[in-house]
Amino acid sequence: MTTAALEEKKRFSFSWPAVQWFIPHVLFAVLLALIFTPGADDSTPHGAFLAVLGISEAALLINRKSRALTDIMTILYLLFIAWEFGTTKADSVNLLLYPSPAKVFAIFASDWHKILDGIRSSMYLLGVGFTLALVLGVLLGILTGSVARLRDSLLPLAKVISPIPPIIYTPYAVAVLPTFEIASIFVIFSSIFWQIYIQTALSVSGIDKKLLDSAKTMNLSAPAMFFHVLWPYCLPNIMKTLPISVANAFMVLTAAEMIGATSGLGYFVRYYADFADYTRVISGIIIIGIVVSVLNYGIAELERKVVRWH
Amino acid sequence: MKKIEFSNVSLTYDDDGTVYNALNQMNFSVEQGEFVSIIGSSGCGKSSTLSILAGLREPTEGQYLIDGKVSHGTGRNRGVVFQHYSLFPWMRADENIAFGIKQAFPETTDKEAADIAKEYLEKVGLAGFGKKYPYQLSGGMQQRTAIARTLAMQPEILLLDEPFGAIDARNRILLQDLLLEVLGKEKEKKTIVFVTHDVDEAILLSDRILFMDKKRILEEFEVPFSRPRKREEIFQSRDYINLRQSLLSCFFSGIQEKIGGEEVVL
Repeated sequence: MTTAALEEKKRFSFSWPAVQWFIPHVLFAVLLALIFTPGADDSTPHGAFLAVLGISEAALLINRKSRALTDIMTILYLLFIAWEFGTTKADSVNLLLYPSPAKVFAIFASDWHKILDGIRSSMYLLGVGFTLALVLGVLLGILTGSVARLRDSLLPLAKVISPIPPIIYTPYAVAVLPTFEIASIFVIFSSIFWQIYIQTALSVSGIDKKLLDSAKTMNLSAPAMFFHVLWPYCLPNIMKTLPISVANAFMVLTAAEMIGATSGLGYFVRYYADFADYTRVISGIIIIGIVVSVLNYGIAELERKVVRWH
Repeated sequence: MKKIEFSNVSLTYDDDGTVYNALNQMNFSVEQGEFVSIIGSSGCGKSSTLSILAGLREPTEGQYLIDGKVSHGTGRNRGVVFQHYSLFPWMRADENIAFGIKQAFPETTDKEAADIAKEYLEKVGLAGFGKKYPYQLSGGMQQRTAIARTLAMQPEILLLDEPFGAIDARNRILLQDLLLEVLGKEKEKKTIVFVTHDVDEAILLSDRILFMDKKRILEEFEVPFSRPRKREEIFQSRDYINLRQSLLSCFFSGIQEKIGGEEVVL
């Protein structure tokens, strides 16, 4: 490489980061300018939107060195600019179908009580269904995995039943089961149970024979064998399936809520869709996105805390 | 009374229609407090013998007695150390040992078990490594922990299945010395059955050596050294050289037969 080329490369790699750190803040300023320029939607209070932007910008300023956050905020601000410009500054847009960001975020401020109730209701159903699926899935999975006869008969059956998407039998479950609550718990349960059950059974049946021999020669009691050997042996595999399971369950839950519920996040979205209140529909969708992300983050943290032996 | 007695024990197993003969009419006994090595080339049935003794397999024919009583299945009177480190990966070294203690002595409190675990870790030279998970320990350290766990459960009979087979030469010597030292200190002398294919290891550690071939015991050798033993002294003695020679010739006569009775030139 010639000296000139080296010099060029050096300059390139030195000048680029400076610009990179700068971009989101410029975009933030552009966004603010756009918001305070008169447009189609000046009647909506901008407080909530500005608060969201303020928090994002503050987070960025605190983690100034984070390249990932810088890139994320760059993309996010670009999206916000497009959204703000498209809805309030371009004349042809129907504000009823395409609400401005200020309108959508204002809902978080005005409807926070309803939103919290929705989250609480959805989380309750998810929590109950999830706990039942986890406990039964692990118990039956370990039992199935350790008894050859059960394994050879139940696993093939499970493999036939499990691929049926629970969303398919949601309407039937809602119609047949006595209350909506039981129906949605059942549907959530079935969307998680099979995965945990099959994963656990397969883990146990594939357990390292040397480990099992060692446990046997230690004369472990049945509970010790279950809680101190088989369960921790399966735990990493179970933890790996959880993010997908929870995402599936949440999808099924919100779908179920759109069919027969009188509360919950899915209900919130469907209810306002019926009134063509798409502002609330979009804010509901954003909330669902945030809730799922928080759940996934929680699971990842849990995995890190619980599985420390790798 | 004999501590262990094998009487006409045979073991066959069926692997997809093919019947394997793993042990054929085995007879041997071990006295209380005796250290017996079973030696032989791979496939001679020495590990099968140990797994029957451990209770992991039941004899197809015959029976084995412990303290004069016919024995079935695993039992608290026996502790096993395998060649492959058999620690539970989800428990730290000290937790592995404490878990063993709690299984053997359910009335022990967690605090007591933790204290005893610490004591045994010190005994095997791993003081300060208790908080490590097995994956953070070397093979030799894992095997030390496994030995500590088995000893802490205080079995009357110790069964060792090529415990140093997967350890590098230097660590193997350290572990052999450790075993001599730890066992020398035990108040009640344990009865030990040690499976190995290493002639020197067998001579150094045991009171008696059983040579196995063709799924049964073919020869028996008394080891003439008193305890405590010093590696350097033993390896220089005339008795050692003679014993080693007889053991090796057992191995070689087996090999000669296998390759058709011709002279083996080494």
